[in-house]
Amino acid sequence: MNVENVIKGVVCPFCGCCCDDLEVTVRNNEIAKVENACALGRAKFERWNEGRIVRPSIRSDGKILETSFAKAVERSARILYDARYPLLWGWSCTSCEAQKIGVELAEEVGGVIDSTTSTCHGPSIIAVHDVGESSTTLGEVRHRADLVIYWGCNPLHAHPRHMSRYSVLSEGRFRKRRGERKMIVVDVRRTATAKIADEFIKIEPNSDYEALTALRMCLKGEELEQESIAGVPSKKFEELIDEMVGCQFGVIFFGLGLTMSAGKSRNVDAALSLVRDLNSKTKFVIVPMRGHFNVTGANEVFAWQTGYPFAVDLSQGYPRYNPGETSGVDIATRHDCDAALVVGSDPISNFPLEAARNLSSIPIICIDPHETATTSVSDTVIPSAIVGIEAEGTVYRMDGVPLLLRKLIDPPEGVSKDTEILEAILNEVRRIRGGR
Amino acid sequence: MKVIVVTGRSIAQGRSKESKFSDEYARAAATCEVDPEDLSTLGVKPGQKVKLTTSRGSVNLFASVSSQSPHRGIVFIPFGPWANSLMDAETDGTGMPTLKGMEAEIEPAAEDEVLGLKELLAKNLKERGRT
Repeated sequence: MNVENVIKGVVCPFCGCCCDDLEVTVRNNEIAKVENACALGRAKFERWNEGRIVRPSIRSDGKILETSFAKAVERSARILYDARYPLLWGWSCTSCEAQKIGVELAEEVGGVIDSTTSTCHGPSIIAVHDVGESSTTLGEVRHRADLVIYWGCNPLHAHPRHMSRYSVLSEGRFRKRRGERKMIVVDVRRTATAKIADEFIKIEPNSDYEALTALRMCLKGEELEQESIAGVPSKKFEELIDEMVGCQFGVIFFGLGLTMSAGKSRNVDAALSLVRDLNSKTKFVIVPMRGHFNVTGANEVFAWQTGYPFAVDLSQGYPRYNPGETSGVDIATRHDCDAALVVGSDPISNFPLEAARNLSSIPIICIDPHETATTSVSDTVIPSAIVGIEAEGTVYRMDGVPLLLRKLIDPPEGVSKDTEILEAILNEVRRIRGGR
Repeated sequence: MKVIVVTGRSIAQGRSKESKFSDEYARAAATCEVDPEDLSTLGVKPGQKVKLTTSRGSVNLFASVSSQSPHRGIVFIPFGPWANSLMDAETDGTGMPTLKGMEAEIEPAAEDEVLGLKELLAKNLKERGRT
């Protein structure tokens, strides 16, 4: 029988926008149509079945052998239990419920749990520790913001519906039209986003800190002695700060242009400080453009479970947090970890080569719905259901608003949810420990 | 020619990133966007190959004309294992490697091969890893 079901109000499991207005048509347990999604979200739904892994596998004498779920779980638990300093990495493309079990597992095996936060907005969180954050929800921006600044980010490519749902192109209660908002982009290239802005300020690479500091000086009424700073005429900073002070509700959305370039957390320090100081003149807020759909959730869950938002070292029996030491890339680069559990992530692709190379030389257990560079070098691979398509779960949007991802179709036969896989590994580790 | 490498998300890379071994992903990520004047100075036409080298490694990529120019001296590479062949794992005490703003040398590489993902992994990981 040809059964078709249109599901409304579906939350998109791609980026940190977590758009919650998708309409997905399901026919015979397959995704038939997706409406309201951007190009990125649409691809995730329409190609959910490409490159899938459907059977667990283990590596034996250099060969990859299919195995049973129970044997894969047993082997995973043994590897983690025997490891001196395992790294539990990923977590941004799974649910908060799975992340919670991950923390429990990290504690049980005395490992480090870190999310892809380390390689996106980790420096932003470090800066928030230092400065604090004048934050908001995206709904407030939609309804109130009359000045929107995108700094070091290109939402048209990375968060394609951000502008139409939450900022300059959205219809808010108090700001109804595009003409009621000014949009400024600061970046090192005239990106697709910059092209539709009212104003584009092109700065030199690795000079965000200088540009933000120049703005802070202007705000304090200090004179800029140089003719140009960060490749921008100094007069432009004076004009920009006038715009910022003169608005009623301003927002800076910032991306990896600040966190991945020279200065890293200090760039974000300067941005947060600028926004804090602006609040003595007008209302101003700042929001990081978080990438993966539940990277914010990983920070929330790790923080409420351990006290720390990412890079949590549980090897001493209590949580330690020292990004730069206890963060995934650093641990892999130092070749400190002797095993890794990777959940919904591809560090072999996404880590710098030196770290990826070291990681590939230790036993990796990879839980993922799809084939990746990491699954191709893993010791044990356990296929998982796609969260938000084949499994339900809680996620946090980039502004910290929790939303519920839904199960739309069944996963391939024999494929389990992340929560079930992690729970099984945790129970097996406890069984090994109990029988020691 | 000396350039600064900036990595980041592109629509094409984002759309294909969950099919890592697809041709589409390789087309989206084994590429770099170069300022048209820089490309002309190099004598490289769009679609031809270039070699990028940093203090951490080198990689061959297909060059394209940047639609986001002018940005002379800046080369954009989508996130992925090709870009990460060049990047520095040093995190400066933050946990974040330097994935934007790295100095590099770019040169024509008409005779060289742009590796697919399997071949790239085999080359990059062979020293100590398993492929």
